[in-house]
Amino acid sequence: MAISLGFHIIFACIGIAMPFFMAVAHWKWLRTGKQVYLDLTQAWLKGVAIFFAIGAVSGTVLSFELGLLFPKFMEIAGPIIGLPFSLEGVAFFLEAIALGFFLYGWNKINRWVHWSSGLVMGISGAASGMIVICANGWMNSPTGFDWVDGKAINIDPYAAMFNDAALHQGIHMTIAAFAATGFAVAGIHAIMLLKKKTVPFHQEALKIAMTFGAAAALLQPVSGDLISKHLTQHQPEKAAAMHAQFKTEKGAPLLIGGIPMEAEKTVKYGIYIPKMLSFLAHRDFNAEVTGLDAFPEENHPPVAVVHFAFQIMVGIGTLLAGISALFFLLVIKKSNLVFHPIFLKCLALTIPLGFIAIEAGWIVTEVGRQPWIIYNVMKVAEAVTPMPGLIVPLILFTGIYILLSFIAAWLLIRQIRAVKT
Amino acid sequence: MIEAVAIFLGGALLLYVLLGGADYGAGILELFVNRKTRGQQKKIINNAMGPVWEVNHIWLIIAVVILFNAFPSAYSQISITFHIPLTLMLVGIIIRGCAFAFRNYDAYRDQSQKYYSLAFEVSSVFTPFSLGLILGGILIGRINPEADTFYAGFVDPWFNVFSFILGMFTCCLVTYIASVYIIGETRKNVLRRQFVYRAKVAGIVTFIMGGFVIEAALLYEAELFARFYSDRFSLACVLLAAAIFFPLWKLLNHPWPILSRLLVGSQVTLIFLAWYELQFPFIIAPSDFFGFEGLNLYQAAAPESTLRLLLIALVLGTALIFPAWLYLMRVFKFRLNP
Repeated sequence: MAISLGFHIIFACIGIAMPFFMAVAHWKWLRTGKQVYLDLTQAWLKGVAIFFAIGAVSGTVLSFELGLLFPKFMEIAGPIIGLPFSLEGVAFFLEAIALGFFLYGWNKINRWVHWSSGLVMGISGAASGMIVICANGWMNSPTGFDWVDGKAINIDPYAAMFNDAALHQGIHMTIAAFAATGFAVAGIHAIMLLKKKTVPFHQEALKIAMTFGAAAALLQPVSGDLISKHLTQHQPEKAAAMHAQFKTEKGAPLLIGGIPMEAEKTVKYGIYIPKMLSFLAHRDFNAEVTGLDAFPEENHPPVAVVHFAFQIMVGIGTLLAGISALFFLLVIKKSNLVFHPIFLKCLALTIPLGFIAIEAGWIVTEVGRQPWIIYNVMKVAEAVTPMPGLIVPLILFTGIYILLSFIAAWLLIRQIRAVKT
Repeated sequence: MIEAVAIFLGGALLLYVLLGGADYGAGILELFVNRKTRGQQKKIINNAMGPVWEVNHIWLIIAVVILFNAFPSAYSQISITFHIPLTLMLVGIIIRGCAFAFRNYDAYRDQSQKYYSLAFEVSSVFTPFSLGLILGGILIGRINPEADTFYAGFVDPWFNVFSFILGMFTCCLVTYIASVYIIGETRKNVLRRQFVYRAKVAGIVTFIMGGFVIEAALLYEAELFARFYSDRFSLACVLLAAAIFFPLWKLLNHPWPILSRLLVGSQVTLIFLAWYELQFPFIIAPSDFFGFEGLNLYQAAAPESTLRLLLIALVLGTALIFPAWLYLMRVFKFRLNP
């Protein structure tokens, strides 16, 4: 399950962000008539078609896999959070229709209708992402029902969908999609620029992708801060695990790095910034921060995993935000400076970073909720299917996904190579 | 309210077979073509499926979402019992979709095309076959509530003659649908004659397979089918579907492909109506054999508040999707490709 989601998330993010990049390039072509913008739109589109297909089929697999692996979870959750899934189905439907028009509508429909089909693709893609995150938000912050004797009664799907984690998480994820995709795309074009291939084409591509990526990367820390404040109030175990905060204390320091020792409940080799955690969580240097010791041990998430993932996410986020700030500074100073080889090399190195951060963030939110599948309601162990031998499908799907990732990467390289020189 | 949601569920499943099913049928058709026209046919299939296959495929997602939203215990039971064929189907869905996208959008046309096509064709066979296995298990309700072995609990419900026959029938049905649809995708007379001939063969084979399905069901003493001969509505639907073969035969090569497409569509719709009539109100059929009482819509239904919101979402969604979808069909399916 986790592997399917981790796989799908990458393709879904590309599917959310790329249509907007294409819409800009396409718009510029329609307004200026310059060939380079048309070439760029079509080159991106070919890649998107492949990634979208993989995203679509892996998404289908997910809707079944939820039931295959966690039938008892879905039996309870289905009526409560089915609503966002149905709406997501609608949004996804529109996205696929728009993709059909955008891919095959060249010269067949009015060019501005064609352009807007690309935009509709992006908007419904982003909407379906936001909506499906509502369902995940509900697992973290379950509302809209009363839990009585192992049964959900008084179900209110509307309240469940608009749970208070949904908006924070949705925004964070959508921004992440733009940041990760923007940096990855910009990085690929940076490599081509370093090789001095079809320079104007790759310069335009880099500018568009990087503008989106950098804007998103600069916004992300704000959204991250909002989430972490929300977590301290609503999921204190997760927040504590993120910061490897074993003890409840006043004026808690912020831990950077370090190896949490779960057995001894200490952290080795960490760097501490005094009182910073209290400030970040409560805007007060002396506020009390709840540690893991406030909760029974069987409800602790795996601290080390969550902490490492959190550090990776924040580290990458900070790095990308820094590069983004630099990017805007360079643009303001002199627009050609962003094509300086050193900056290009920098970008080339950041290609995978955004997606690594997304995966790390995903680990934080999912592993951080362990042992619960629905926070404080149902544990993962209670939800899992009675079917034995689950290792077989696990290996099967992992194998398929690894194979597909390689093929997708290989196809992408072939497409880049095929760009007219 | 429960019935209204069930109608949406049935409708989504029907549309999936009519549209998404045809895309699998196209993959199966690729296996039945002489070498000379193979390349041409591939091109036709690529162009025909390209703009619509992802949309067609979403009907399945809609059906699943309705199922777990409105009838969660049925979804849970199906997921547990049919874990293995469902997994096979999912693998098929992944391979089919990816292979099709790869072969269509790969930047170079080289050796790798052969592998994409192979993967596309093979998965086009075993995805609908797995779907048939699952439907077969649901139809005869071979679910043993007291199963204590792996085989009885997770294999026997779908690993039986009836399920296999239904799996083969599903393959035949989608191939037949595709073989009729594809005629209208070309204007070349030589190809069209071949396609018409093939559609006729596919029609006959599907018809015979349908007979086998009913026989096998009676053999298994499936409770649902016991009603078949006495249920006038179902009987009428099936007879009408068979009768449609006659006008369809004449119209296969008609310059308006829409005629034959609508006729084959109504055949399938009639068969589905007959099935739904027999199945109602069960989602999973009961079976005397195991003393399984079946699971009907009313037992499995989610609370009223959920159903109401789902229905609103479905109606609004339909209002949003249908105009866009019809426009897509008009642009790509109602104009003839050269």
